[in-house]
Amino acid sequence: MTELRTITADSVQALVRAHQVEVWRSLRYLGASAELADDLVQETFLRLLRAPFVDRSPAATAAWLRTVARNFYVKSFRRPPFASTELDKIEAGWNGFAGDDGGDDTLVRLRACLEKLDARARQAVQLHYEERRSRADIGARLGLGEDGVKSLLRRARAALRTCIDRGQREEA
Amino acid sequence: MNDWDDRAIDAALHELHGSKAPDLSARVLLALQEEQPAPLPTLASTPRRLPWLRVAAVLLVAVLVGLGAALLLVHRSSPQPVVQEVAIAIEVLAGEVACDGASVDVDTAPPAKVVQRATAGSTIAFVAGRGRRIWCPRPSTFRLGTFGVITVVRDSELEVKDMEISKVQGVVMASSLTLAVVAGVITWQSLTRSEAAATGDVVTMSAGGAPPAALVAENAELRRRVDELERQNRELSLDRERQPVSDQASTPATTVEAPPAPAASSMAFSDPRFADALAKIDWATMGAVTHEMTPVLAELVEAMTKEDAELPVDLAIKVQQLNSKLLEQVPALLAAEVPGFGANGSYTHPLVVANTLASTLQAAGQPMTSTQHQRLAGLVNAFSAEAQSIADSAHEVALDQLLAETEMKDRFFTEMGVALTPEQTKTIHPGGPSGYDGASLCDTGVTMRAHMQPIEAKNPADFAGSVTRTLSQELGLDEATEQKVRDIITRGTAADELWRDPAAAAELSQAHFLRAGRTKTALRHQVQWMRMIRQQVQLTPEQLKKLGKMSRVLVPLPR
Repeated sequence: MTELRTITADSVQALVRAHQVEVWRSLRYLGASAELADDLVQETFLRLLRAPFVDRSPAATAAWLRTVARNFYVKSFRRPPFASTELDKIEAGWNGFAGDDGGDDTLVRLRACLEKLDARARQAVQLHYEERRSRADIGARLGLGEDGVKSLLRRARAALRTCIDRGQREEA
Repeated sequence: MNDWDDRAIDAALHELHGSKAPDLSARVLLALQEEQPAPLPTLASTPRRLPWLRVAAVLLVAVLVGLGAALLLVHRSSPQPVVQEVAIAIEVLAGEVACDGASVDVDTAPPAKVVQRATAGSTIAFVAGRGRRIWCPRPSTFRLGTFGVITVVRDSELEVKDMEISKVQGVVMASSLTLAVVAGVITWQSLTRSEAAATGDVVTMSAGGAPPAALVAENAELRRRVDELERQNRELSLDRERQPVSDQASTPATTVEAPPAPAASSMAFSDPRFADALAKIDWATMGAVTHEMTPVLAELVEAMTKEDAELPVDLAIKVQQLNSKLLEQVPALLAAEVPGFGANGSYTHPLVVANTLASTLQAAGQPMTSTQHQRLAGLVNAFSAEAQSIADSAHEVALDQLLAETEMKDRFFTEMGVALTPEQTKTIHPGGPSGYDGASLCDTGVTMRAHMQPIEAKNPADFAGSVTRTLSQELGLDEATEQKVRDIITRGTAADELWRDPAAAAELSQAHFLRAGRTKTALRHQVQWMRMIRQQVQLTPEQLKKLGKMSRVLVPLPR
């Protein structure tokens, strides 16, 4: 970790820029809204910068930041949003998604996999994620009920996940 | 695939379609530099004691829109925390500000209401809650948390009518404030928006960034203007009826008399209708500040045009500080009732621009020659008449006025530029045209910037979806009407000129410096699709009124 107790603006900015995307992404993965993720990322870095200096590797810093961010996220609820017994599953899910680069590669693969979805699923994804239409609206266009749209989107995500995993395996 | 795998793909799809991680480094840096050495206050989830108030010892003073922090106080009256009041930092930049505060003795219930006062250079905590007030015994400028900079005339008084509160990990923050102007005139300025309001008006401010919906404030301001224009129309009609035809033909719409020679600290160009009020403006300061701010603004915009550029915090703060000085003069402009669409419309009125130009050139040591002065006086005369005519006309939708004004002022700025020497032009536009609205104080980008609301979108349908959702919330549309509105907007924004230029780095940046001409093009199309909605969609009178008074230009930013 950079020596931050000298607190130069450049060192702070370099540290934040090095890790912010991964921390932000991990919060979104947990279910935080974009706005909440922004705020919690800020608080997380402030916590790091206020804390006594500890020399950590970049990977350890990233893990520390994600853990603190996750704790902040949990504390923002009256009741924990997930059981502590789920933590292993959460961590495994995140590691599977993020890999070694915080998820950049997965996003590239996801973009390619989107093209491979069947037309109906791709349309549902486009209407939901790109045009941000409601399930009712999407359902009206695709001739489905709201539950049908929900199932269609879930199947589309499962197909995308399978496609990403297949790509990773083939490359390995 | 388990639920967490599903969530990962869901989040990734959102990110792929626009919900991307912002660069928070400047925000973290500012928070780090400005926070006091005290812990952030938090709400305990199940308090045994019920203190009425908890005042934060920390005041994180906002420096820049979207980058500062505001803080806070919590007010609870039952076991379920009910937040009714929030403390917001007031940093007094000029003059004197008094406000309702509270004792910092956190466990007294109920707290004694105390009055806090501060003069330039100091900061106080305003306890914002319904009915709480801020008042200024003399002309003042202050920064209100992350809401922006407010400038007021003497004896102005503001009262909180409403506010929205958001809570992040127990920290309570005001996300929007609705203030009524009980007395006086105020202007509110953030890096991306500005509003003006007079006694009886209501202004809604949003914390940080561009506000999602300031329609209430805009409605109130426009309502006042429409009433005033209707009154002026009635008077002008009566005058015309009384006047012989020959007199009407020979009387110019506006008489602008140029003084024999421009003076450094007084008005170089005048108009009998506004002379008294405009004489109260400190033109020497206007010139000096404009001269100092112009290259800084150009540098700021230039910096933001680079790929992956970060907001240069020092420059942005400098711009804000200088802008605050300009804003101190705005109440006099509003009091003079110089016609214009909003505060920036008055600021870019030909008469005001010409005077600002004269004093800026004076400050730069390049005063106008008498020939230039004469030429400018003629331009001011002609374009002031046109400005008055636009302001006096009836407009089906309020943005009609902005469009007509912008087209007129574009011509004025072009003509004005011809009258200047190359050296003078360089003083006004250092580095030449930047190609971005807001990079110069001497073009219509200043007005455009005050009213634009950029919306990132991939295509007309995407844009229409976002706009319709906003309109639906603000107008209260049912599903069937919403669909009709969406279709009209999709068709109304299909023109290639809106989509051919992908959003540039500066446009996507926190400061949203949009390409010159983009907002104007969007405005032209928006006026059209708003008219189509009014004609083709069955709206209630209240919905029609709200739509007609809308003053935001919704600008598609092609992704």
